[in-house]
Amino acid sequence: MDKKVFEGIKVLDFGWVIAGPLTLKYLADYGATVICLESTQHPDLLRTSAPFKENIPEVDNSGYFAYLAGNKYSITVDLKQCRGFEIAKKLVAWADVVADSHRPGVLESWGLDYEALKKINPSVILIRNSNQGQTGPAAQQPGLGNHINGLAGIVNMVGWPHQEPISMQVAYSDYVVPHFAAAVLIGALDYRRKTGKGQMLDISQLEVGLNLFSPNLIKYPGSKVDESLKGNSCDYAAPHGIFRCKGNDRWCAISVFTDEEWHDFCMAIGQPDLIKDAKFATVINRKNHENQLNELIEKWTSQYEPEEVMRLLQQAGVAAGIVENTKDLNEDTQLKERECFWTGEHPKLGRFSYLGQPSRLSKTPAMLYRNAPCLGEHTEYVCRELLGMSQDEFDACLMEGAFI
Amino acid sequence: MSEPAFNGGVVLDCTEGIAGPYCTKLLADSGASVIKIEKPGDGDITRKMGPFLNDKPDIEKSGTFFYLNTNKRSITLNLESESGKSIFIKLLHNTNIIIENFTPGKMAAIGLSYETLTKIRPQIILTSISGFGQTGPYRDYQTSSLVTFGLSGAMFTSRPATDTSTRPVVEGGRQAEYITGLLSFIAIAAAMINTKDTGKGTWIDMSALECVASALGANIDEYSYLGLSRKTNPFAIHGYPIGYSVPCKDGWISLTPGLGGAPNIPLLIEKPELLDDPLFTKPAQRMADPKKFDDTLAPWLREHDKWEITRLAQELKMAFTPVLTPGELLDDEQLKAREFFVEAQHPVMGSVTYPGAPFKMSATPPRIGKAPLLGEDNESIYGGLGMSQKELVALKKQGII
Repeated sequence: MDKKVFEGIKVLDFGWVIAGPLTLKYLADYGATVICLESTQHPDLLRTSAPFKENIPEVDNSGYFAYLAGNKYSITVDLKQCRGFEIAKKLVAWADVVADSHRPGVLESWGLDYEALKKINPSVILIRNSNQGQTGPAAQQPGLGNHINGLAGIVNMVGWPHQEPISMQVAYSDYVVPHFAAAVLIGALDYRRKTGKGQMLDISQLEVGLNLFSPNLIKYPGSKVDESLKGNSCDYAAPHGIFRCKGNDRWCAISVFTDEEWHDFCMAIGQPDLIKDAKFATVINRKNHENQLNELIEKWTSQYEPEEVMRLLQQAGVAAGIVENTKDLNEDTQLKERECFWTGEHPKLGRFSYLGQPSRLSKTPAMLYRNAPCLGEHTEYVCRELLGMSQDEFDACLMEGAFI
Repeated sequence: MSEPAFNGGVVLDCTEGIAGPYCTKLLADSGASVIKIEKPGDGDITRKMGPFLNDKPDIEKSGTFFYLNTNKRSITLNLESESGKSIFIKLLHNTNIIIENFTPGKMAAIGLSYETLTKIRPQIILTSISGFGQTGPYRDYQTSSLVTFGLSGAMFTSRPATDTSTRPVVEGGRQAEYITGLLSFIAIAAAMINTKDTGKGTWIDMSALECVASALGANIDEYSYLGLSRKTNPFAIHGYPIGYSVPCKDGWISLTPGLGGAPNIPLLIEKPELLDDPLFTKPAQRMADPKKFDDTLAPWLREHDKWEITRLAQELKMAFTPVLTPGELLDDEQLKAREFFVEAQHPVMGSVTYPGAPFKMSATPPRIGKAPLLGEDNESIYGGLGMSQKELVALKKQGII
């Protein structure tokens, strides 16, 4: 078997919650050794976040954490304890990358800011994920990923005209930031290999949110910004929406951009006469009569289940897809056939499956090597095997309470 | 002088639209040398997407195209012609990465399969971006941002918590395509490391559905051990601890009562007499009667603007945030302090300000630059292959470049 992409890369993760740990999940899934430095006193917020198996809130029972920490190691260390702090410093010396996703200033308060880290390990890469970056007047503001939905105006992008914006399904930036952060980190690793030099990476969730929602934020002489909620409609396409189908709460998404697709659509729904209807002949005409158009289409879609609507339209070359709920997604034939689901047997959760890394490198695929660790599961392994501590040394640390 | 992170990579970009170009923009902004191959005549389809300078549709005046193609060079080339293909193969000799978003099977059909490409250039990284991937029953299906979102599981719960029978609504801003581009970027970054280690190339098969489902269909793990398939978004439920929008004097704010209750809210809304009210001291009480909770706050919120509310709430250790509009973001103090927005000069559009890289790298800063005009780099790039001016004129006449 080929070497894993990041095999041999050593990461010490001080981070917590979503964005930071998800960044390192990418490296771990491709073979890096990622150690989560945790503490039983302040477990990761995700370890104490629902959903829990059988709704029992225990630190090793959260599916949220299990998803984010697959392939990683866990060590519990009390940083306030002298020997505990020494272990953290040893891990810094061991690591290629140190990761942090606390509020700016927290690392400094531990005496582990970038300058301090460099004294221990001159070529270390420090990656810092934060809400609004490490600098600027709002840097110190506490916040979670969902705050960025508001700050970046993302909630303004989801909803119907003249109604309350609808929140995103998730704390959006928490789930997109990691991909940016991991790519930037890979760039830094490559640079370090060429030059032997480390650096500090400062990632702002607010800015990532904006980078993804950009066309509205481009300014040139005479530019205007469009601030309206558009529901499911699109300026360049009609029909473009979600249509009610047969069954309870079943829907199908349909989008028709070109006039050629419109022809195919009319044929597929068995209404060739519509092609001749001038009201719908061009995109502009269809946009002008969009309400009437949508009613007409929904009359057709409501006779069929969404699977059938999708099949009939796709056969004719028209973009259509079921609005899938979680159950549908789990049964999706495309995802199944492409083996997108990763499944583990977690000691607490039992069978646990989720969608794996979507980046498919033909020769070196990512995979689930090891379930998410229980809190402190690898404390002894990390100290003895990775840091080379003697049994006596380890026992002394244990006796003095370094591992809580 | 510091150099950008991906300096040295040469990318042949055969994509158009949003996902592929966004991916190669991220590479180009990070230092890779990206040659954008466009259709002779019209070029990339986003050249026809607004907003346009002076609202005038023009292939050199699209803000969307500008944003998606910063720091690239553009050549025109018809890949479906024999001579176009042989020029492409000449370009291949200096290339590390090819990115394409044709319908699956098209590259092979025009004689440029992964196998053929590796024979010419063994260490090539071919990245194929498509709606559903290069295999599987949906392989030949059509898609759009809306359809991908629908299938991904990320849209179903996107509706008001108070009325779960209403129509789900898509995330705006064609996010499915941006997410696919972003995830392709990181896949390429990993593949570049792998190729440097092993000298071997790779074929990256990106599916938009998988990108969006894995990035945002986040509730999928719950289903495996709880059997839970949600009808609505837990973040949209009024009274819940985090993140729902309520109106204020000049727009909306994101309300965050917090996990541990919201004991300071009576101070914020200047009603200290409510300090002991269980509505504010007990989260369960608030969640049981979110309407009463919202109604108690509403009159005060309506009299105050979003920044004032944010400032006062933050002073009381409550993480409320304003819901900002694009116009407000362009003037935001925090973003200004971090020099997030950057400016480049474009020969047709003039001075264009756009969102820069969302990260700071102390040793390898990203680049700032403009988007290319259609075929702007034909002469320098084709000239570099040893083609004469006369040849270029002939190829242009035949519609090959």
